[in-house]
Amino acid sequence: MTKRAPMLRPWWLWALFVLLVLMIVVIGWLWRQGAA
Amino acid sequence: MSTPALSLSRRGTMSQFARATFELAKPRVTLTVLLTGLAGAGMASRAMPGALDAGLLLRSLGAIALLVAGANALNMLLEQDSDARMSRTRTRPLPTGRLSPDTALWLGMLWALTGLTLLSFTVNPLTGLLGAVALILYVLVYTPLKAVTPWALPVGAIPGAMPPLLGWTSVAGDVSLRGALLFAILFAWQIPHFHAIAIARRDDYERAGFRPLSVARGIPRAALHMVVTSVVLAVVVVGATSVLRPGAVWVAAALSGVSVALAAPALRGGEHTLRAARKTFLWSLLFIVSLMLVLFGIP
Repeated sequence: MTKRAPMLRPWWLWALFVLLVLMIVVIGWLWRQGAA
Repeated sequence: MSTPALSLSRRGTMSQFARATFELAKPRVTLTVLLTGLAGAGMASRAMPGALDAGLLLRSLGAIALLVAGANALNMLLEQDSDARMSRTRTRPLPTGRLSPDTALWLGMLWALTGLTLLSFTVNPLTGLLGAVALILYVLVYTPLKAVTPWALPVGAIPGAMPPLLGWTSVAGDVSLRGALLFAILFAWQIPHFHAIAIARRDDYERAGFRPLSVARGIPRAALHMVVTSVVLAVVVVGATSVLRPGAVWVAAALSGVSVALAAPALRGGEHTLRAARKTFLWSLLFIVSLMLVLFGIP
């Protein structure tokens, strides 16, 4: 039984995806603080 | 200029594409998630009357649906090879070639990021943050880990327990003890639930290349874990209910007692284990729906 994890390719696209996710959360937070 | 025959076939292609796209979102999973999100929002609005209005509920559930649809599409993209080897998942859009992996990739990312943006900006940033944690854990940690180690189960149970908490924080604006207890119940519930599936469908999982405990360490070990985590679930549920709805503790205890009683015969081995796993799985579905209704205040 070989262990195979699915490939996350191209890796930079997934890294960009994580970066966008973090950006949305951080900007959302700052925006709400600015609005309050 | 197009002939009637051509436009007819184009319409057929469009509806096939729309159908495949719909399947990519795992509509039944998305609907289940929305129901648990609704339960969380409902409990929060009971705790603080006036905090929930129809617009907020619509924005929150719409954003959660997009986020979940995106996460499901990305999961299908990453699991297309194992899906092709399991009878249950062989007919999904990617293994059958009805959608290209590129389409799944872009649609998945678009849906997930749109859902997250809506949660962060039109609901509240805390719900956006929790949604982001669930998305990353599900797609980039749990999905790859499934093929490597049984530890994927507790990792996957974190995003799995998030939907009612997202519903809760959408309304309440913070996690608080009650939101955390709701999360704890859903987290604890998933462990024996998935051990039961992985015992009953062990061969299918092995063929697909997944490594739940029943594949990695054998069915007797998985059965032991299923029974022990059913007891843990009982303790968590009774404890949480005593805070969330003290009047319903005896109902929670009765429901949990049935879970333990149905799981326990799995320790006897052989056919008893398989039978107990199937019963535990079916009961777990009834259990969680009943418990949500009880905590929600019905009856």
